[in-house]
Amino acid sequence: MIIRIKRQADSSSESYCQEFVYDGEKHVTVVNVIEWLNIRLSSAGLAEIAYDNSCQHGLCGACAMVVCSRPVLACRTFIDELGTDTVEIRPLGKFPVISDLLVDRSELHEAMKRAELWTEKTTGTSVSATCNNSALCLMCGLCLEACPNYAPGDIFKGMPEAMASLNLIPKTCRGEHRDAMEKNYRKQVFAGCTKSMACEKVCPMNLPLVTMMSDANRLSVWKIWKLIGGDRL
Amino acid sequence: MNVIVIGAGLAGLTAAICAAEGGAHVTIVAPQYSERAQSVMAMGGINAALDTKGEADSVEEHFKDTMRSGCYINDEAAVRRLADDAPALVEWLAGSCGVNFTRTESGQIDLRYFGGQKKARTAFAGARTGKQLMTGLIATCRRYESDGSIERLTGNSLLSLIVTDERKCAGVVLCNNVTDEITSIQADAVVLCTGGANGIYGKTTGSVMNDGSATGLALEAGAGLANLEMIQYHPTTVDFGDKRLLITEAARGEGGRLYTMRNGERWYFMEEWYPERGALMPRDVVSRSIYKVCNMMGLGIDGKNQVFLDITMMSDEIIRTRLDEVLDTCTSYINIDPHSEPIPVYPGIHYFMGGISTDMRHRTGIESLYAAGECSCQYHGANRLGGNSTLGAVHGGMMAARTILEEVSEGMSQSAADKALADAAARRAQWNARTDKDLCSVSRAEVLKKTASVMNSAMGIYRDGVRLNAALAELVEIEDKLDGLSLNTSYSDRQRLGAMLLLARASVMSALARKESRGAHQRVDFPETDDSRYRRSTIVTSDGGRNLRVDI
Repeated sequence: MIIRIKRQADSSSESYCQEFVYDGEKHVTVVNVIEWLNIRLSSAGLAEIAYDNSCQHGLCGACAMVVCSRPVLACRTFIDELGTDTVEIRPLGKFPVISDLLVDRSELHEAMKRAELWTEKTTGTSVSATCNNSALCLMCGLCLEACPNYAPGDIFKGMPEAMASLNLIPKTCRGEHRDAMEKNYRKQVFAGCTKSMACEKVCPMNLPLVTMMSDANRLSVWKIWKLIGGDRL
Repeated sequence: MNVIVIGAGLAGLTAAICAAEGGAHVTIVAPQYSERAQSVMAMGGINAALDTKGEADSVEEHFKDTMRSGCYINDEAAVRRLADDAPALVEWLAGSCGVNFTRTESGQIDLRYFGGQKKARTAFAGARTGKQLMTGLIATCRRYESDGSIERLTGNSLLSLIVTDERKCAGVVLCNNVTDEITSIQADAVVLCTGGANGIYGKTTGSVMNDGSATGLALEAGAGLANLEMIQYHPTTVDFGDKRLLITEAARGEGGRLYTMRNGERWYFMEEWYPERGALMPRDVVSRSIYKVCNMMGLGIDGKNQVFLDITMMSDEIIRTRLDEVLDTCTSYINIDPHSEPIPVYPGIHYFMGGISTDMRHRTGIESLYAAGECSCQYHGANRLGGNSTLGAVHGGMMAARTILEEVSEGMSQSAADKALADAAARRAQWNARTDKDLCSVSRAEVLKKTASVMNSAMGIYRDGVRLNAALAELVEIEDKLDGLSLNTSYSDRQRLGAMLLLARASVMSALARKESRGAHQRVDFPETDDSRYRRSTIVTSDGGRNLRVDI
């Protein structure tokens, strides 16, 4: 099997493609393949392939990358199920490359801060499935990679911000802070989303994003729901 | 006051939030963002005697269960405080951090039964409690990040602790994981929240980020390490790639059965050996039973180290709704459909009860240095109860922060940090000047693989003096081979490797010193529990270099 990886020594270097022959076990994940290659690179005194890796069980979102043109978690992507003898791996394209497959996703976290997405000292509770599900977002960035509306630096922030809004807004008392979160949602998510819903297709947590978006809109956008008291999840 | 927290999981975030709440300025240092921390992998729940089920549960019973499970080598005062504080902590997580706990119809926090405890005491948040706890804490931490009281230095790892001549921690030297650039930060207090020692064992159920190097660095800096021999094996894990994937205890809780084949027939060994509780015996008992079946009776499935976990009798609805994680792990990773096929399982390393020795206020042996979470040792003794790891992490972070706010005085001089940075830079310059003749013939990956193999063979479910001594000799050989030589790797990786090897040796020494069997530590050459000599912690210390001594 041929593994073709887009590499780049650091953020200011030129990128290039490197090909490897892989002849290890068949039913393994892309993370296992990268580790297999790294052992050999390290033994040969060559630079290992840089990437983020942590839980290797699809629970943490570290290893998001693009494999055979699909944004995926590498630890949940099995090379024998890709239907090809040449596996192409490249870093997420919507974040600055730090090195090889390692990208800088700090913008996701900075955007959350700017959108004032945090808890009040005293928060309410919500027992809705939507609220529960929204807290499962991995902040991996796969949805933004697939999204036709998201571009780095743009005002539109996509699903990670929608998920945090859904988790936090219903628990926050009416007032300045809640208004700010709702306003930020309208500006940074609702206004920019053209409902391609490509995000739902690639979400590694299989979150029902279409339904969740409509819940988020009900909370923060449509005044009619507020009038009839339906803006509580 | 400046506080540095190393690690961004449950313990680290709680420490940071509580310190910031008390007015401190906090810097969180971690290799990756909090979403990647091992804490998100915790499924089960968090224990607290909230008694919302009307079973007359009490903090006293929580205390007793924790002590009993820990075989009485856990810190009694610390455990009492843990049990006492637990209900308020869970209320804080729900009411102040917005954690989505599963609730009863009347709106109270729901509780469930967990191994080793007779009362329903484990609060949970659907099937992913750890992730839900982390989401709540991350959102709370963000409030302090927004006003600048908490800063994050993500992408960095600990290179060394700055300890003054008066044995006081004055900050840290860090290394950027990508650029290998060295920086130092001066601080009034440092909290280590760096997780377990997964890295020296290779395959575990946890995150590869938790390599144990920070614990090794703390040992080198002069902090004592306690009960390193106490390692919890989760009975049902599945071998895959570079990991052991966890099959939750809930699979047995819902009625899953363990069997192997004997004389062509299914043998439900747990039900035969323990008719009352069968496969739901405590984790260490189930793990030892599976070990016996495979290694002492030679009855592993297909001659391998594995037995079958059978959940085929369950309805599709139960499997899909309550065991969706099991279904997913089996179908995607090992190509087994648990509706119709048994799951091959074997015990795997899941949790480290031992670590940096702390008192009940989470002070280490070095002034101004604190430790909390899995990297530290105080609550769990010889065995940890399910649901007490998340609680211990949150409680530890809170206690460390409170202690710092109460007792640490401001006004650390910059000089210790400057000197440490200069020293680190000099050593780094030496490293940069290395030539090919200084290069070791082995790679870092090979050293890690060899170390893991030595550790797994000696520190398994059953240990004996002969194998432990052999392991100690092999570890010394590995260290000697590397001594003075460079590896073809980054500077930070090389430094971390040294600390990990030191931790590995300290762990084997601890296991050798405890000449008895207790909880997770089973010696075939000393099968009895010896309360008169060993009802206490093993403590490993260093002389400031690579010489270690163990006391018990």
